[in-house]
Amino acid sequence: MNERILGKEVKRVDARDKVTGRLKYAGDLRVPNLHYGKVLFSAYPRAKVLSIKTDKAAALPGVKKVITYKDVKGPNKWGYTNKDRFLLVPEGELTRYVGDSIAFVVAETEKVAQEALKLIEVEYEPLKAIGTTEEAADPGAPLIHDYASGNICVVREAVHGDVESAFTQCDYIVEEDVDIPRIEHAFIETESGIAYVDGLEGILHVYSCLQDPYYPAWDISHALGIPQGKVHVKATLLGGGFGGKLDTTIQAFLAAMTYYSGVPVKLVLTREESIRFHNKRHPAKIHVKVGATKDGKILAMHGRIITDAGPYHDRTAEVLGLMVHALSGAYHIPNLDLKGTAYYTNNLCCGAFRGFGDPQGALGRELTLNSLARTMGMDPQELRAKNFLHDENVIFEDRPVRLEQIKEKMDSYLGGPLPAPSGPNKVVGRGFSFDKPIFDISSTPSLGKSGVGAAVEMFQDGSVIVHSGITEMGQGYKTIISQIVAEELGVDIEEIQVDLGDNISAPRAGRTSASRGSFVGGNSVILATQKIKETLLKRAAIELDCNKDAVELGYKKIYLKDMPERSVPTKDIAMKCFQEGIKLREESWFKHHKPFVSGHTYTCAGAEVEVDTVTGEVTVLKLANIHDAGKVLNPQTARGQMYGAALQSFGYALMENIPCEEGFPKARSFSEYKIPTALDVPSLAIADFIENPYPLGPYGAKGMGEHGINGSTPAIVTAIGNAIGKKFNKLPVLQEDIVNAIKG
Amino acid sequence: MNDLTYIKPQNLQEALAELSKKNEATYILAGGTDILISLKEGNIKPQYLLDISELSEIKGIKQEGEYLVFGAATTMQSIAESPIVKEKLPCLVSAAIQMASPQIRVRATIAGNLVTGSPIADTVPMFRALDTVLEIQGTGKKREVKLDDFILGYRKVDLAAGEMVTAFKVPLLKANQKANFIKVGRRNALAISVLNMAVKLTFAADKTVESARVVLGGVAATSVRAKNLEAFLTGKKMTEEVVLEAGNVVLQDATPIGDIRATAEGRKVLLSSRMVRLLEEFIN
Amino acid sequence: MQNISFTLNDKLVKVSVEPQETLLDMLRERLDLTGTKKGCEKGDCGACTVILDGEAVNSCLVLAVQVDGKSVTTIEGLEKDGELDPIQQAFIDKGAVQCGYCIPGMILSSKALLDKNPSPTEEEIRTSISGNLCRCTGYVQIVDAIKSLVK
Ligand SMILES: Cc1cc2nc3c(=O)[nH]c(=O)nc-3n(C[C@H](O)[C@H](O)[C@H](O)COP(=O)(O)OP(=O)(O)OC[C@H]3O[C@@H](n4cnc5c(N)ncnc54)[C@H](O)[C@@H]3O)c2cc1C
Ligand code: FES
Ligand code: FES
Repeated sequence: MNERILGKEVKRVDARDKVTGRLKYAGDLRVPNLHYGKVLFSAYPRAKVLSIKTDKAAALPGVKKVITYKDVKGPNKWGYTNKDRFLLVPEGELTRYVGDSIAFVVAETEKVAQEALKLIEVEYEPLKAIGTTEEAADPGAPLIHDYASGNICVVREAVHGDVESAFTQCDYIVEEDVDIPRIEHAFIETESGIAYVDGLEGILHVYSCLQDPYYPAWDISHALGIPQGKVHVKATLLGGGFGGKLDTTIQAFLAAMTYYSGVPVKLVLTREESIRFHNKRHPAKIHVKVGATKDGKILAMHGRIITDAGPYHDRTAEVLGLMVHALSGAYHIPNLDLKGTAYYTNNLCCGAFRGFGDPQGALGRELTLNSLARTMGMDPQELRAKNFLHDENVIFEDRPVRLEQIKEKMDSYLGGPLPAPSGPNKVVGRGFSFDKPIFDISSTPSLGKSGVGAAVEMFQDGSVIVHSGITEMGQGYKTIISQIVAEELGVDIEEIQVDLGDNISAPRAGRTSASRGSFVGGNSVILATQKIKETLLKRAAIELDCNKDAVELGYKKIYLKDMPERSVPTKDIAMKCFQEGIKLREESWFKHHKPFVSGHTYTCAGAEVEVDTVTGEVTVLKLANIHDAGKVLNPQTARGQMYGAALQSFGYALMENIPCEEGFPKARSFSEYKIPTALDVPSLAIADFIENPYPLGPYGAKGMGEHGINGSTPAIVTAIGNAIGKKFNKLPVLQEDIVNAIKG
Repeated sequence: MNDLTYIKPQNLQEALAELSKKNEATYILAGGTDILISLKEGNIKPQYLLDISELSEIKGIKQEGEYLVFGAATTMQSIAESPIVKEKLPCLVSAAIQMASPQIRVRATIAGNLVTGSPIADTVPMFRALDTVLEIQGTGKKREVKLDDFILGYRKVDLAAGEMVTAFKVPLLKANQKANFIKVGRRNALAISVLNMAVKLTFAADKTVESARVVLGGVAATSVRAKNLEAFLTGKKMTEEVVLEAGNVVLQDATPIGDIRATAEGRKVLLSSRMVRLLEEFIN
Repeated sequence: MQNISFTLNDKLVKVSVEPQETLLDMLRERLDLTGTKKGCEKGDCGACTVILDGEAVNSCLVLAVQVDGKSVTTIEGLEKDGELDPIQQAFIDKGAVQCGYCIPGMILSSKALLDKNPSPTEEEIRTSISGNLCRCTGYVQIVDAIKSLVK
């Protein structure tokens, strides 16, 4: 195919508004009579709420309304998977973490709202919090949810073959324990939004930064007991999401605030509130035992994962499922016994985070395989090559490229002899990691994401509007969709309006996650544009006095295939359609025919590091990611996704962690929770692609939003270990850990 | 909070007068990078904020005899850019430039860094190791105090109501003296220190250490003199073995606690390894 | 309330502010200049960076009253008659923008650098934006964009 716009470095369509500061993010919006909301979060991770007294707060001048559970007319519950969270915790009930909400204040200014919070008197009976998975599993432990005996949130397994007997045939067996911390998304825009009820139809509008407008609409309607048709949720362009804004965050709070106060409300969480409230990436304790024959064939893997879900289910089942599957990852292992268990605790809640379980699983797997290679005295690349999952082992309709191909490309960046250390007491090392995540980039029927729609309309002036429920969080979806429509309908990008993340104007599209946006959104938009194209061609054929099959749609015109100089401007046809009542608005419904995940992609990450053997300081010299992309729709945004993901893994490997102590988070700010700065990250970041079009992807594209994060972390950790001849199984790898390893 | 008054005096005299006139709820505002956070968090409830950040009398750096004198409201950035500091006391540039971020460094002052009394303030160990003397003024009175004596305890300093730090007098390094600083943070910018450490050694003619001043931050409730290490170094030649041993000796001077930035054990490891790194440069 | 006047994006403005109000809140709430972002209110993220008398500062750590008589440049002040500042254009051209939330601050920090030092090294570039956190880009294309302007 010879595309005009796709595959090109088209500049982002939202960039100009972003570099000029013109773009309004959720927290920048205003409407007349706007009031400000504040949330009173639980002071304790686990406590009985004995009484809530709001009189003093309500009497403060400037306070419009103080809202408690008593005001909520509906079921007062929300949550993904199980609607098991109180919108407002009632008196007599228990709190489950420090992000539970007790009361809302609506006031004329943020400052007054803040003052009023301090005047709300809540009497708690603090109870001992369940602060570890061990405590949660203790038979004597109190239950966090009555329905979850043993405080087990969910168990996920992957079993085939006979692991026990396979181990008896192994010449080498290694076992590793990998300890992975809970981490924070650290999007720079905190949860924010505005809400109001309009005076036209009485519809409740919520404009907020979110990754899925449909689920919050359901949560709002459920919690407040109002019909879904009365709830309009629109995603603003996000200031970062990474999974942290995937499930309902503050949207139900906003809805309740405006609904029960009668005034428009703005709510913007402070950084401290954001950190305590939103879901984190699950911590994990992973035990892996793997066995191979002496020629390097892996026969069996036994794996156990324990994770801390925090107090609510949210995405834990899905995340844990992927984590378990990721333990075998890109390798063909005939005998598997893998099991993951998630416990409820009173710690911070965990949920979706870029990579969705795969980063943890990949660490467990890759670090253990490196250990196996070391034990066997085999080159770790060779060990992997012998066990790569190939088409012969499993048939994927999407035909991922062979891992060798990716490895070859990686070697062109990180091959050859190691560079010389930059000075005395410095050593250099390399590490690699391979991954094959199984993100569900399809539209298969699991919770609320069966089928993905889009609506496209061409107006009589030839311009186009697209309504898509996918959201723009920085990944570049708006640009990709503009490119696709411009390509399909032969219009300029400037003539396309892309309306995103709206639960009412856009047909259901589900969530923007799992690297699925461009795949499902792109496919559904293509389906709709094709119908429009059909109509245009039919009408143009009449105009050009020929058969429909004889015409083709080109850039801004429709022409005769074998006489291109005979043409008619597309917009004239659009006008004709308008005048003659011919429909140029189409809806589509993209539904994958396979009942399971698709778009398997292989990735390889490589890191080259220098370690100071006196101080344990690490400099990552190079960090490379090679990705089996199917088709790169926009090289610039594609590289951006890979760099961004890879460098998040840098933080994961070396500095990030948000521990909880008896339910209280130990980091409350960006001073205490550190993400990398421009002075930390490697100055040589590499992202390259292999293009092997995937027949079901839009123009052959597969997902790519998350892949860079999975392999990079084990690659960095392994490189550090290789540099000093030791191994690290605990993240983040700190300078003192390295010094200790060198000494001990 | 609503009855807060912002005052911007035109000169030092006026500032001192305001300071003595007003009550205990008068706070000095210098770079504001610390006090504005306390203000927002409601930890302090000032009635008056006295902005001294632009008083020319207490800004800038000049040489006076055997001293470099730093105005108390001198910013980290001006230290980092100052040709005379770069030439005479580059160790202070090192401390100033590793602090926080560019945005903070253009505002944060050395007095603000000191008066917060934080045990991990980044410029304090170096100023202390250099044997700095502070000039403090109240209305009609002026006193000098050694920086060592100014720090009284965790977030406690020797400053009376109505007083203001006006200058830091730092003895210049003599030909037989060397000094340097190391900061340990969890990242290369915007990192509140896990630890920091500064050292100044005076060498005798035979290249043995005649006297040592070593100051550690982040290992106790205030920055502390590493007396054991100082004693250990005194009289020794700086050899590789001595430096390695110093990494162990310094642990006797530290009673660190654990927090989000490091465990107590981790701090000890870092202290020891970084002290080796710091002293390596003095091997002769 | 206190009256102040200062130069904002090359124009003299007069505003009444509360003494404890930050420059950030004044810009966003009183003047509706929402291009200056709020990410932490504690100096930890740099999203609120503006240029004050030629220096990049965190507007969350400056009081509004303190800018009396001074000159403030916000992201809204860079575009002149529809013409983008070269730094803005470079950010677009190099794909430096993802979610964009850190971008106004990034642009102003790098502008403060380039105005003073038109030929910075990569180290100086990285230092100049080291007070600006970005969670999307890994800084790769941001550094590329600034580098492309080095004289
Ligand atoms: C994001 C961030 C990062 C930081 N990183 C670091 C870091 O890496 N290293 C570090 O050391 N610090 C750091 N700090 C803390 C702070 O910036 C420094 O301590 C700074 O030097 C404080 O100086 P200031 O002028 O801003 O003080 P201000 O906030 O103006 O004042 C601080 C205190 O000192 C008093 N004071 C100020 N001047 C005088 C005077 N002349 N006489 C008497 N009292 C006075 C004030 O009344 C106030 O109590 C950081 C702060 C932030 C917000
Ligand atoms: S909002 Fe000012 S630095 Fe984060
Ligand atoms: S582009 Fe999203 S934080 Fe920088």
